[in-house]
Amino acid sequence: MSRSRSVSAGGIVYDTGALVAAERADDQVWFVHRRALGRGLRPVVPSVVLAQAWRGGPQPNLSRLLKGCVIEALAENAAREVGRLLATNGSADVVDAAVVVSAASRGDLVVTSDPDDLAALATALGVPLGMQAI
Amino acid sequence: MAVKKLSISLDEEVAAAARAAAKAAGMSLSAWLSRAATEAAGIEAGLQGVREYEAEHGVLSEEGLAWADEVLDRHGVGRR
Repeated sequence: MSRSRSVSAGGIVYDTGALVAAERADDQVWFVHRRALGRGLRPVVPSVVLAQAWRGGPQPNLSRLLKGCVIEALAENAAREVGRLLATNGSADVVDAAVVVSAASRGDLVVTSDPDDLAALATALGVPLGMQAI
Repeated sequence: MAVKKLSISLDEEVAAAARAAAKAAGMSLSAWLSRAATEAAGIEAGLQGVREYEAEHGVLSEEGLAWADEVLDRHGVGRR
């Protein structure tokens, strides 16, 4: 259905595009979400991703998706890693960098609408990450 | 976080397996059971969210779910 880069992964991290797709009832995200839950995995949503996607509600589909997710706070060490990654990559997208740092900490697959930018960040971090475009 | 003390019953084999798993994880039995319950409740809540989505948008297709399985298998998701 869509392109991907394959690297061994343990879990799943959603970026903002994945949450937006879930809200607009794009079944692709829901297919992955359903199967991840069926494997006993709760996808991770970095808190900054939620901040970017959440518009105060009601966002019923997003709320349904989030019921099965782990919302991951950005701790100080991770925040410093995000800043370091942005400096290395010469970029300024804190949210994208937070997604990559989160996924890299566990070797997770990133479900994203923007695999190229995130892959560039992963390369700058020196950690190969699986990317699934939705 | 406030802690609620419960008295629960487990089959002997389950209790032994839980104690062994907690020890292997370097956790108390209470902490291990709490983590296991959190995960299980989270999965069930997530599946309820999917059911609510399907009630409004239609049941997810088998073809699409097979695609998702292929994606997750290809990336080794859930194999740890």
